[in-house]
Amino acid sequence: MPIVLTAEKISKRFLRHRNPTTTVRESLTRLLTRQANPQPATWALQDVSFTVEQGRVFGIIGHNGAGKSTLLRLLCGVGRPTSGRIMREGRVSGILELGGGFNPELTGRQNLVTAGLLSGMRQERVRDQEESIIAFAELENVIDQPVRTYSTGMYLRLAFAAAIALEPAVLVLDEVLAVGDERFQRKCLDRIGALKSSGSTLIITSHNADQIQALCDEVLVLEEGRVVMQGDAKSAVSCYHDLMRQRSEVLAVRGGKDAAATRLTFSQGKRLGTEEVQITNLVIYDNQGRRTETVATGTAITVEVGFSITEPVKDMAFTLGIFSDLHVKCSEVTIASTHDFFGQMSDSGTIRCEFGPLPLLPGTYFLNVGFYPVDWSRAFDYHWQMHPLYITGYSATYHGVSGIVALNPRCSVKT
Amino acid sequence: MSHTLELTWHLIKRDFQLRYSGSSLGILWSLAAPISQLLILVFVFRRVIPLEIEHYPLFVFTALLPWNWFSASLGAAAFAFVSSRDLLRYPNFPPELIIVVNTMTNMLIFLLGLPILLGMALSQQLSISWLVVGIVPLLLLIQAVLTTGLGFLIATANVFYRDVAQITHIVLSLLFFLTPVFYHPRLDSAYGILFTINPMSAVIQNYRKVLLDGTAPDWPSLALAFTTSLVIFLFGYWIHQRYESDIIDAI
Repeated sequence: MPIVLTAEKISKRFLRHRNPTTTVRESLTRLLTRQANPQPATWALQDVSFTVEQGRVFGIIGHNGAGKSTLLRLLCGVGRPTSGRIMREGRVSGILELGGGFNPELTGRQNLVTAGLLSGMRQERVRDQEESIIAFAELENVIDQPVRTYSTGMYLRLAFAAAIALEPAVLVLDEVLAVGDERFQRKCLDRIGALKSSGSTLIITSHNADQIQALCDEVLVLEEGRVVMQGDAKSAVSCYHDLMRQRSEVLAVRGGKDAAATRLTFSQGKRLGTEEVQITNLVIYDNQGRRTETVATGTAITVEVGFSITEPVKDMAFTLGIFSDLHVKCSEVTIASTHDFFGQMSDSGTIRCEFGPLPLLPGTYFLNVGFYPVDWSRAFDYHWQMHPLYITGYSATYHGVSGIVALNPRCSVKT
Repeated sequence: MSHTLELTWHLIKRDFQLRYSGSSLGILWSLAAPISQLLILVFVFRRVIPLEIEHYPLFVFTALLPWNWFSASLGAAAFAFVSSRDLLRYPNFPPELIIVVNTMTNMLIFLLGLPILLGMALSQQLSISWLVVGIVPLLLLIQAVLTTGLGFLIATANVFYRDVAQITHIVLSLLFFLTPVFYHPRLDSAYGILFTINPMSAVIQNYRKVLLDGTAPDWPSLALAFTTSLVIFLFGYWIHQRYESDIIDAI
């Protein structure tokens, strides 16, 4: 397939004028006192290169501020890269941001004509297409009202209907598929499929990694303005998840100190079960015997699970596990029969589990705990993601290590 | 090319829609400013401080119409980019079109007032010479070039320094008095140079020549005004092109 879009080592730096309230006085004072510019230049994109073939759906993922929107704007020709080149074959059209593109004071119809003319259509063709665009957007009743009266969903429907009706060679959609009701989203996705099979190329960004994986043939992962990888959707999405986890680990460590202050509440997670046996509380103690939810990597913890048996239950099974925030089971202990293990249980009490030092990397974990009948036919009471455990650590120790298990391999090279 | 024309025309219409949608008089409001200014100036300089100028209402109105075009365009130019964020977000939209459209919109308002001006001239039993047909378009062109050039400078500068809008406002109100809108300038006096170098002064004086006096325009002053306007236009366009990419980033 021929290449419709090429980005060649593009970089974008936002300069001094980013602050719109710069006044002449500030500039003059700076000039006279020979001060350096107070706002250092920031690189939104650095050395980004890729090519997009015709008829492909090309996804761009990255966390907020990774440079996705800047990149899309440059691809559309809104602004120029500081260095590098972008080559386009054919017309690029797109929805760059919600809220941009339409004038709120004008009616939907007036804005539609502007959009049509601005994407290179002749007046006559805009007239011909007008009604079908409005019909697709399902806005017949409000099309002659000012756009400021529209809801976000209506606004998006109009923008999307206009953008696809113009049959662009390359259609750019920034984060827009996430809005709108599900039925309209379905309609949009069908239309995108049709566009794709008619030879149009799509470039989309989304926070929704599943959507990216379902739609895209090829995905670019951006992080801090640089390309991390370009490849098939599946490996790109898993690469993105790795990046996200690394980031949340860093955040969890930073936020770890305050985490103990937040009280354990039953509003988070899920509680399932028929409650013949109830879990009354769950308390975590650190190796000094202090009640906590935050411990450092390698600290031994003890967990106490309070229970109360309200119906005559002779025997039961018990599980207590530590799970990562992405539901990976790190370790779980199962007691298949409390009667065999502890003997006859009284109506209420506490089960105490002493864990040794936890070899877990910094991050957020959950203690999932449950009581079941011995035949495991249902759950008496199961607490899922209700009891968080925050592991903190010194990043220097585990620098460059990611995952769940706190290993610190020593790497050397032999020659 | 004709697509650009269609787009330009559409954007001009859009400008009018944005300005006058919802008001009952609509576009007629654009004539309210020059007519009320005319009434006040005629009252002041006929009754309060009488100036001995023949056909004074016509004399003032010939200047007020082009002056209002000039000053309204530049006043709006300061916010032209800042308020057109929606247009600047379209792929490959040329920002310079916003400035051209701004000049054109205000020129249309000027043209709307022109029949009133001609009617006033006819009612004074002044014969309108055929020169008008040839000279008025030339004067329009000079003023359009000048206004667009200054528009580029002001609009671009105001994106980065919001003081520019304020400065423009003050300069325009001062320039109103330094341009012979309601008086006869003495070109041979010590301060005559002020009127000679001011292209708007030359434009206004030549409107008066062809409309009131029915004589040929003063060609040297027109040539100078045209040259000045062209230089300003090229400089403004150059500045705009240089900072175009930054404008889009900063908006």
